[in-house]
Amino acid sequence: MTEVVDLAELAATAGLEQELDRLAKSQGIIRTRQLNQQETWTVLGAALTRELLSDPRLSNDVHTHAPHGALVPGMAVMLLEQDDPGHARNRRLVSAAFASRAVRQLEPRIVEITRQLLDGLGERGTADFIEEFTYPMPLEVICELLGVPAEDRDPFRKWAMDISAAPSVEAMQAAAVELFSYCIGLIGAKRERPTEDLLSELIVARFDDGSALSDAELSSFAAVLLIAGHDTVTNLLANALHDLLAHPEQLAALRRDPALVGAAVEEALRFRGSAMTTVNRVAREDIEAGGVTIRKGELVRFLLNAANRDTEVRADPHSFDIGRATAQHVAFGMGPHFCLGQRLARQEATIALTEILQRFSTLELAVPADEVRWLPSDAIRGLVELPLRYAR
Amino acid sequence: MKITVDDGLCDGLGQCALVAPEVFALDDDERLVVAPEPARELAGKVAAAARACPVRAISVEES
Ligand code: HEM
Ligand code: SF4
Repeated sequence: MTEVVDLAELAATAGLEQELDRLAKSQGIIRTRQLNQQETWTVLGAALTRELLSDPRLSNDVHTHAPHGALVPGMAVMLLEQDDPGHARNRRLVSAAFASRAVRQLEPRIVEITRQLLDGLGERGTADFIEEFTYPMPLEVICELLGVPAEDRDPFRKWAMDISAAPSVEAMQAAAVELFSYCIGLIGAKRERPTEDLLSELIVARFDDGSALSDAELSSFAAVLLIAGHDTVTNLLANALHDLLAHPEQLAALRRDPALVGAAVEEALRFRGSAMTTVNRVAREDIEAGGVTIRKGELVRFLLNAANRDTEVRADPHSFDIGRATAQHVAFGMGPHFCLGQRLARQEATIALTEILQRFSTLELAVPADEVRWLPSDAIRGLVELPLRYAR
Repeated sequence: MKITVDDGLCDGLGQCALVAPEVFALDDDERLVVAPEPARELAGKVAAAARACPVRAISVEES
């Protein structure tokens, strides 16, 4: 039989992308082992990814069809672990908050948060940019949007780390339970004292038939928005900075022409997106795909970072090139579960890169390139830390 | 085949256009443009595009 790959183990090495390429060349779909020791089919090829991400024979509702594939048993995650029609119904309720107009309105505040954090770094020095910037920046943005009080934010980093780069299943589930119970409390507090934010709006929002979200649903919504809305951006920003610094000619091109920032963000997403794998799907029936048979009840996930480096759709995919004609990448997924927050994420990344480059004319890795450490995660592609030397 | 898009729901995400570019496109303001009378052969693709829409804004009536 085919080999079973331990993605988290591979991800701890800088060579993950090259190794995935080697695997993808022989097979568009492989077997991988998850943290809870479950094996899943894992799609690598770009064509197969596009085809299967909108295939109704795959269900996101693992709680009903394959409970062992759930992120946390007994706790269905809003949107991500739901199928239509319930999924579309819930998504309609929040989509306005993430539409173009709403996101544009957030711009001045995101710039302000960014500048304040950069002010904290002073004129020059050496710092872990994840700790000092890429972690707090998106966390502040999403917390303000949702209405999470500043004094509550301390445990978020640990929860996010334990959920996306967990040392064990137990640690992951414990963090999810803590986050969830925090969110139940938060929803309770907002019910008593509504404030001007997305969570307070969701509490009073009504579906067409007049019904509302239950407290359990509201808490799950809050939890998914909080985690999906910050951890991904933190890691994308760090990856983008790392990859720009590792390719000085690309960084120089961006400094010469700051209008390339949008292209740089897209290339960063394609080259090393932070949402490395999607959540699990489960096959509702036998599916022939990529030369294998996925049996009814088996789990399937998508390794987006492999699809984005597929040699069949892109010339020279392992080179980081902000000038490349951007063939559509799938860093935000595709189809019904296409990232709800992609506009916000793109805007945050654009603002962050622009402001950082404007502020610091010197920016360099403070450790030898081969000493940079990667998260041992099968879900998130990211760095453990990003020590940089910087000066105005 | 009659295609209706609920403008109030459509979020301009373009997932439909990725699946059936012959029929769906976004203009510069992220507004969805639907080809007036798509060929019958495209029915399968149009149905797949409707399924790819995150908010299910597209409905299709067979004629
Ligand atoms: C660079 C940053 C981000 C990346 C790379 C990213 C990536 C993704 C991907 C790949 C999916 C689909 C997962 C799947 O199909 O299993 C997704 C879904 C989602 N994302 Fe993002 N995301 C980012 C930022 C955000 C932000 C800022 C938010 C804000 C709230 C957000 C909220 C969500 C939600 C709620 C879903 C579930 C959508 C659904 O199931 O309908 N994401 N994201
Ligand atoms: S996929 Fe749906 S929301 Fe997106 S552009 Fe098409 S109809 Fe509009």
